[in-house]
Amino acid sequence: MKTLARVACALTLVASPLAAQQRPRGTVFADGAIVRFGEVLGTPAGSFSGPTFGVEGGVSLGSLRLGAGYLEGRVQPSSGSSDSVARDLVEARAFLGVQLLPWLRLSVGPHVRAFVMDAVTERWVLWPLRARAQTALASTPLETYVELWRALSAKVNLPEAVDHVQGGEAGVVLRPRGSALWMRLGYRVDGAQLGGGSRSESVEAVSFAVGIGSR
Amino acid sequence: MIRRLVTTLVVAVLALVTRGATVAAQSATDLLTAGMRSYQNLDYEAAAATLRRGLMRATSDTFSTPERLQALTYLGATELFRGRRDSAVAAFRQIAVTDPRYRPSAIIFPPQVTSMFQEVRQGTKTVFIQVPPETEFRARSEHFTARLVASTPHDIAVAVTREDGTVVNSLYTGPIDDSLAVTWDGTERGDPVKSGHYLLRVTSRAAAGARQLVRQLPLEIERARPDTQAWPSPGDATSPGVRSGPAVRSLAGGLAAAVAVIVLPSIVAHDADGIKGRFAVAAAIGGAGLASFFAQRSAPPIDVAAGANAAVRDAAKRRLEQVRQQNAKSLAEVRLRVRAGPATLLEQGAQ
Repeated sequence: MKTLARVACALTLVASPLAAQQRPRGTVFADGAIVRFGEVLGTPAGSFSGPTFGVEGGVSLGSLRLGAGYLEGRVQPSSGSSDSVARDLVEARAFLGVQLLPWLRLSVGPHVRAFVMDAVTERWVLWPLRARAQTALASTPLETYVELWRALSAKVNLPEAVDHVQGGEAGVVLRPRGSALWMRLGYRVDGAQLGGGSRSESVEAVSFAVGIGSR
Repeated sequence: MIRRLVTTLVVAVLALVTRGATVAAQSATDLLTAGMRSYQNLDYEAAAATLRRGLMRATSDTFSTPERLQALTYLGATELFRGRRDSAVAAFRQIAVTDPRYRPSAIIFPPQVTSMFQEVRQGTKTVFIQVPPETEFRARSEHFTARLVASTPHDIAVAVTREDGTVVNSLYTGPIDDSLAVTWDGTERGDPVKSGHYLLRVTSRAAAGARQLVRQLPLEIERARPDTQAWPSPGDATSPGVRSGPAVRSLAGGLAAAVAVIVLPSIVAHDADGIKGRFAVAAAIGGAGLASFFAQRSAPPIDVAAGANAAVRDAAKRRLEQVRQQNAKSLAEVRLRVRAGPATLLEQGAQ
């Protein structure tokens, strides 16, 4: 937790002078995704997939960015899955980011994920530190991005201890010239390892988002 | 025993020094009050002695300028009534060279005193200089202005000199009535002066055989650094034709993101199956990178875009020339920052 506090303080300190005398800019987008959730308990134990929908918004002040997002959906067991209990996937996150370079942004903030089943809820609380590189493709209205993250802190209400949680995302953004509207096609994946490798979980998604405002 | 003696001596000396300063300060004011009282009691001998002692003790710490002028007025009147005209003239002359606008009160002092003061003032030809503490101006095109106030109409010569008295620029020679504004364009023989210490000297022409007074003001002159514009970037003046940098960067960015999509599952989640749909995302990203690359590469060749390039080059050259001219003008326009010090008065021998 101390590490998280230090990271947040460092981001704020770096960004505060840069954010001075800037006008805030906002962005909001809606996101639809096809999600696949897999769990391995020594051997593949379950595979689920389904759609999720979410929204995310943020405010940028200079190089400082504050945002929050929410998504939910229902994943159904795939054919051949030994675990046949469908579950709701609910995620919420908030973050504080700083644009260190025109193409590089660091962010940190809580990320909560829950798999809600009829009788029980598996709940994750993560504090990922994210690094996102985004660059425009010259002579086109396109931008590409790659983001990698690793949880500085991770807690889950499972019997096994969390070894690590990490993830990544990459995609392309279409930002038509002269328009505040933009679209994004991306792929994201994250994996958690628990109990010294005895258990692992992964979540993948191919997502399409439509947003308005600055990136 | 010796240590106690030394301590006692030190304490005694400190006490005397402290007390002495206080007594001196009080004595000056007290002596002025006592002298004025003696004058009012027509005890001119005592008044003269007391006021003179008070003035001798008075320093800037103990007498303000108005108090000093008041003391000198009482002293001059006292000496006049004692029949010591020369001493009275000397006292009034000190007033005349200190403040050109000071006049003795006609209510307090009789006409003999005021008329004599007027006579001395008119005979004391001096000038007071009024300038702002700091002035900044463009040499040649703008001016440094000094306002001169005369004690009485007379002829003056005004010049800017070096500290050794060498004349840098003669500003004015002629009569002054009540006041006069003289200006200086900051030059010496047409060129802006260099940074350094100078004097503004105002010499009051006295009647033949009389001593003349010179009022001089130290001027610390500094050449301010001219404001010039930054040169336009070289890229502005070069051809906007095909450059491979952005194209390659776009291709690399697109391909890197596409590869990331493909390999991310194996990097961050070893057990992830990997959604097949991610290949579509990878293809879209890679395609975007390729599209950007070819869009850059297929930019109009130089000969096709020659017209546009020439126009851009000409505009850049015009801008460069404009900046060059403006900078040359800025460098030619030397700005001078002038800080003025306190004026002093010199008395020169009879001509």
